[in-house]
Amino acid sequence: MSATSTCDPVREEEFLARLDEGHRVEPYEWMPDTYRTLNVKFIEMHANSEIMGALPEREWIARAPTLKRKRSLAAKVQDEVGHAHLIYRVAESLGRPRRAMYEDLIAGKGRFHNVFHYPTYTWGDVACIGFLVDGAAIVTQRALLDTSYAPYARVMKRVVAEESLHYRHGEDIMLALASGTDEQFEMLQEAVNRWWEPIMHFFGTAVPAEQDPMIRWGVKGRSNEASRQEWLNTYVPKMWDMGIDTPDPKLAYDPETGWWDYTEPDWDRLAQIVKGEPTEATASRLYWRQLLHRHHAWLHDIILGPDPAAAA
Amino acid sequence: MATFEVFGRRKWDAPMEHVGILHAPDAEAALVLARETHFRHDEGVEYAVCPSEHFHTQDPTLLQRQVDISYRLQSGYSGFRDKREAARQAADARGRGDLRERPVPRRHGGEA
Amino acid sequence: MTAVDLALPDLSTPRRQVLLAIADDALISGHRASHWTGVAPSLEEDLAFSTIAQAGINHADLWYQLVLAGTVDDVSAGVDALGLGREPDAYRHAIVCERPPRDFAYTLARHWVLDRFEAVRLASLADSTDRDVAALSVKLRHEHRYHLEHAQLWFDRLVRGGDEPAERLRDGLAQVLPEALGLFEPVEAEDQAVADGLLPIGHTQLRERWLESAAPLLEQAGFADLVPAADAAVPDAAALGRRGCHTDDFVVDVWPEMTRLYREHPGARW
Repeated sequence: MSATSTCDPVREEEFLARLDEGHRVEPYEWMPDTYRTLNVKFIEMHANSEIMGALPEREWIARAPTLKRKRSLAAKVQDEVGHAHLIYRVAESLGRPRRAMYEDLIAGKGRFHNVFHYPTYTWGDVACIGFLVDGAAIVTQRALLDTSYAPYARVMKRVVAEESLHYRHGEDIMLALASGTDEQFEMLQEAVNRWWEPIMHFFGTAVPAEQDPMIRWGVKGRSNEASRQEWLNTYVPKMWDMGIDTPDPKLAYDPETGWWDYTEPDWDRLAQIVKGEPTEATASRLYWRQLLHRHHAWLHDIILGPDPAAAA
Repeated sequence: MATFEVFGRRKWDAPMEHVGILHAPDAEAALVLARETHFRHDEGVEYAVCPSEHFHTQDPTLLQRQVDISYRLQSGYSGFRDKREAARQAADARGRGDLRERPVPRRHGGEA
Repeated sequence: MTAVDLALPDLSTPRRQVLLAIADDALISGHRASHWTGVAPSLEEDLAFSTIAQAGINHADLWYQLVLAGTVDDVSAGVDALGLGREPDAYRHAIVCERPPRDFAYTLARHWVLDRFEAVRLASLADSTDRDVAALSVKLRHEHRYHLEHAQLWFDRLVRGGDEPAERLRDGLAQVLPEALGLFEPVEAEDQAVADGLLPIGHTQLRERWLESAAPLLEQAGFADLVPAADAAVPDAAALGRRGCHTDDFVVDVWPEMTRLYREHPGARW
């Protein structure tokens, strides 16, 4: 990083103008503080979500109903951890050490997506996480291929490619349940009912693009509502085709506008989930990780090399 | 005289790839010289060098898989047209076929 | 409690008992390894260990296919009936495989021991007169190199890592090594399998080869006192896994969770 100030209104305007022209920012370039901070916040939350997203699915590797599902679920969760591995590195290139992010996460100080705060009850939840929740993530991640921070965009290329595999994995599980026994079908329908609101929450409030700082600063390229509409477009018809009911009675596609109408989700509940006291599921997943982390303190330097901060 | 491994990025969104080696007395010199040894025809947008002695390689046979790992690949999942049709028929059989208005399907990147 | 139309072959033949022991070792140790997914001590190690877990499950599947060898029409359903549909006393894995992962030092110690065992077992099976068994062993031996390298990597680093890491590895090995002798207990009718050439060597010789391969490494690492004596007996707590006797770690912990969903929906497709 150069000695030049990172708070320079003129340079900042020039920087924003370059972003508007489609310039991609490399880690060694000058960047305003706001740009760095917003990116770190967003990318760290993304990486945290990959880790916290691995945990609910991980619970089902031990319980998977066939050996094929057992190993493909293990491989799928492995990819999520792999994504965390790639994405933490991007945040690191902006100056935030991975160990600090990790320790904040398990201390309950790291933010992550709402959908990973919920418990799982049945294999139907595995189907919903694998297809619908992952589908929501695919929609938002694909929009990140245009993000302005070059290392992030490069990593997203690989992540999005792997997510295409996860899409198939999820749809395959979903279709098997939908065409299975009545118990399997009910298992799926109940899980869809549980996941509907969290997924609607996932995209965030319909804040207009011009008021979204993440869009202004070129982190995100698309508004929350555009992403939600794309998800509804893709996934609702697929559920209907399987005979699965979507639990919002108001949900309807308007061919005139090309837009979906839906019941506004309860935004206070979202705020409660992501900012309030941790849910029981999150508290126990984090507590257990803390316990493992503390118990293995003797191992950290061996497995990761000495902490550079401590060595300095 | 040491050798340095040279890496270059062809486009901003491409990975850094190995493009060759050069001889130079130190990293500073290698960086100056690499520009003309490997990038004089506009081959890239970014490059880096690394002392060859710090470039560790593994026996490549370790990457040759003998066991089918298609479950980790897209090719491990197939027959979606039939599976979707089976689910549709199952829905009809349950009296849950659904004909509500919906958008014309667009091809989705991950779709089979 | 398998699908109604699925009749498994008679599993008591010497060939099937031998293959079930190999497959069950892989499945149960893979199942236990999957514990670390999402919670391993580093992200890199998380990815490595997940592959080890997947390999266990994957290899079990391949061995189960040899158990079935043309006796069922639906091979996947047959594999699941074997992997998830048997009663606990029909599993033939050694008890050391069913122990919980405890901490990472124990886990690494167990993998190191199991991987050295698997290396000598696969090497011997490559000479089996059963061509399918020999061919699969050759394939898996190649795959298994990664497991050996991975296990040796952390073994060496814990040994060199100072007092506490070396001590913890020692504790792990002290728990694993005596119980690992259960890996070498004969399956039912092993003599017949050896006479047929399916098993090129019996358990006594296999145990000798394993000791020859593991003992020098243990001695160099300062663990000479942990090397099991040539004639050491299997501790009672870890005995008879090959005959279907299992501890609560399997019967109460692994088996119900692993098989419940499968058993609750007989004949369902997933």
